Amino acid sequence: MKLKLTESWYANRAKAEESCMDIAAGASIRPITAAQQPKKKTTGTAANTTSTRTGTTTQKRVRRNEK
Amino acid sequence: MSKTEVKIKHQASGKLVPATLINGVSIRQADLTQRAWDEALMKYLEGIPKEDWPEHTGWDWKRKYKKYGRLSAYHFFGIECNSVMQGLLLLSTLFRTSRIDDGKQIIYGAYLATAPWNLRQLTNNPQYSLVGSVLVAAAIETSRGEGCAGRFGLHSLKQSEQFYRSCGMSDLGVDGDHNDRLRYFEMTTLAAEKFLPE
Repeated sequence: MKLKLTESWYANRAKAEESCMDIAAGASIRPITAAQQPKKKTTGTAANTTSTRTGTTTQKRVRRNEK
Repeated sequence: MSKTEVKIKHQASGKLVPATLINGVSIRQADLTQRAWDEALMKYLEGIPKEDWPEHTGWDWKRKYKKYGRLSAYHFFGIECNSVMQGLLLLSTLFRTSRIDDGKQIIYGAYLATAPWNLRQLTNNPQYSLVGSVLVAAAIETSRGEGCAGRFGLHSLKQSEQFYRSCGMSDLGVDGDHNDRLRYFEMTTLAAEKFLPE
């Protein structure tokens, strides 16, 4: 992760946080099982590992096959 | 697991001190953190009426790790300082869409909390600040890395709404679909750029 935070960023955020009580946030997400989650990338090429979450690659392939 | 050097503010001295942002908190770290936070909470909550306890008092980070920590769609961040975790964030990259930028993908801040000793609600002398801001910066950076251009959403606990507004997140009101009817906040690409310029 390339997270570069400057001294002025810290100073501005410290000032902004002064009036805040807390930072907690909580989800309403349903737990998902291992079977439901996207598969981890394996050793395949970039072309066939993209968008496992959205299914974009699969849809494009189907369209190509229909032609 | 990856580590990034960041800073948080030591409140007593007013100085920025080095801390480590960990992406990929381990089960051991989650367990140790839960124990340390529980112990501190017990001390702070003595004498405080239950209705005034922070809303996330009962969160169990070890359990959250077991449920989500090993799933590749989740990022488990922690900020460590003085060998103790000062804040934790669980991010989901499962497919969700923005409620502002129609149809565009966002990531979701599933759980975010700071250590009990950093809570103004529990102590007049919190030890560190900037923990939340650094975790929000990590969420933006993760969003950019996932191709979501800084966009992310979360449901804020009531005590924390002001903090997310201070980050420039849009308050989209009470989410009727949320179990606890929390307010939903979203960071737009523009707000992310303002909060953390690329």
